[in-house]
Amino acid sequence: MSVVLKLTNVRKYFPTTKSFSQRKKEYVKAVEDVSFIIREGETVGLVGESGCGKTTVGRIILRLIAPTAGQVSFRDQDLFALRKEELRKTRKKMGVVFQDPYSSLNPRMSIQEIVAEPLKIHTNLKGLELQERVVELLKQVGLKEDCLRRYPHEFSGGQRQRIAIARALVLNPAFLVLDEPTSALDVSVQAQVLNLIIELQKELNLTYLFISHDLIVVEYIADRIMVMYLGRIVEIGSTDKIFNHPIHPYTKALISVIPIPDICQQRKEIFLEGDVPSPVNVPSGCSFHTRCPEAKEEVCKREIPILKDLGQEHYVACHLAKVES
Amino acid sequence: MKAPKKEADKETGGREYWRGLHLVLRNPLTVLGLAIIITLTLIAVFAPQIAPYPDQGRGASNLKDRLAPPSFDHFLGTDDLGRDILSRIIYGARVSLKSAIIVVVIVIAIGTPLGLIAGYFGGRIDEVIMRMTDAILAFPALLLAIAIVAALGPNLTNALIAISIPWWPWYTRLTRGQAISLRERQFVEAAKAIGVSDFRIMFRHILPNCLSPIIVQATLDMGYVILSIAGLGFLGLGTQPPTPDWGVMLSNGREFVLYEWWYPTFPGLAIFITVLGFNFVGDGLREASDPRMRGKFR
Repeated sequence: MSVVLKLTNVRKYFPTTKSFSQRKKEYVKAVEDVSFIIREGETVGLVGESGCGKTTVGRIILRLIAPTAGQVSFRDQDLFALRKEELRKTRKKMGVVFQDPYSSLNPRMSIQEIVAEPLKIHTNLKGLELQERVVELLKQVGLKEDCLRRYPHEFSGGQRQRIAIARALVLNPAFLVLDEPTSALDVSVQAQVLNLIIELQKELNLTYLFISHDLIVVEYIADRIMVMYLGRIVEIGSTDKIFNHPIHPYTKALISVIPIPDICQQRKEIFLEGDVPSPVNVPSGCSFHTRCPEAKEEVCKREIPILKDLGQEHYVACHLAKVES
Repeated sequence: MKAPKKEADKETGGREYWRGLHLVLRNPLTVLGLAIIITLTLIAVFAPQIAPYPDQGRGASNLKDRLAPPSFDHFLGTDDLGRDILSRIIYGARVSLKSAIIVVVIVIAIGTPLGLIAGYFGGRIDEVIMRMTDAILAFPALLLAIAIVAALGPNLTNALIAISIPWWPWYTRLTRGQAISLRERQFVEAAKAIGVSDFRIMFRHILPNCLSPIIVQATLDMGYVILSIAGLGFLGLGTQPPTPDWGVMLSNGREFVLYEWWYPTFPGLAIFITVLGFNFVGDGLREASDPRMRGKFR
């Protein structure tokens, strides 16, 4: 399978202070040295807690912000070296669904205008043809034709998310960034939207980057999972590996606290102590060593661990990983 | 049960506006203001048909009836050149309304796009535009207007230019504030990700969402512009005689206030009522557009 998306050593720092008294600028290190690939037809989950940089990664891939360093290539084309016309063509192949269905649709535009906008920008479709394509898409995401003239505030959260999905798919993209598309919805609606996302993938042969903090949702939808902590990817592996054989202490802790609907089952939950350190002052060495229940060795405080290949597409950034495997 | 619901669904787009209108009309003062504005507009449009002495309204003098008190011949009396004051006020409404509309259109046309650009792009462009507005707002508006008219020469066109120049920065500030909060919204991000141009994002996505405060401000400003024009007219820097203008009438009538009270009083009342009308409507629109205020009348 061919590689759709490739990130190489991507960094993103945001300056924090603007005051002139401070000569030395401080930076929020939102994304630090992130590299991964996504292959055609797969769903890759990107998980981590709030503020770990996962949404920033999504925004960089969509070219909404430029990375401080590193390379992003989409089908072997460097996204940030594209010229205007090439960029337009590339944008046609990428779509996005955002987290908050209440703010991701323009309240002053009708559903028809919202879904048709990408077509107006990128194609020559007009009038009836345009409307037909919009109706086709709305039907595909499970909405009726009569909502064309209505406005976003007349729809529920789940319906709005369907509209956002229709807008993302209207140009027949190959790749979709799904930035927590279900986290603002209640559980029963979540399941409906997730199933729709899965069905559409099969039908249209889509590739997904699924960003989420909800491990259960990610387990349900993803083929592979990447775990982020403080701007770095700490573990990449198949969904089975991450859930059944996690290696990184952070992943272990995350997996151990997923609620299991079985009162008889005994297990050891790992509770991490303290808060996530500020991304302005990232701890030395392994950024997780301040909270890691297994970190003892000097090396954890001194050296930044790199992603190690453990075989079978399983990568872990931990000094102690060797011992375990 | 099903049929009427479907019918209602189709009409929701239009129903929204009716609901908005209902909210506006719930306040009796707004209705009064609206009535004043509509009456005034009709008077201005049909001035030749309504005015009892159209030629005197346009400026022809009638020296045999100088300074006549209100009577059945002249409902509001006559001025020092014997002209019917009611006719002068009716023709004056044309000048005032036309000028107010011109000024408000000019200041919105200049101020709003600059505010959109400043708020949407931010950074250095924002800095340059906002410092420009600061510089203009730092001058006292009337003084600046007087200086401009003095430089260009006193007539109505120059007076309108002079009023517009210190006025547009308010719209730039207003729009910029809205644009800054809107550009962070996800629908703008989504549009960017699709590849929508900055120009289209500004005018198709951001502008329609900041229209309500602009409309409110424009309505209130209609009244203030009429007041400013009257002010410049009073100082002899606006409309030149014999063109009827409320400010000029007030200024000329000033010296007659003790014995021929009707001369300055009625033009003054015309200004007062008009400004009040626009203020009532402006306040009503503001209340209707602010969801927190809506509850107060329910």
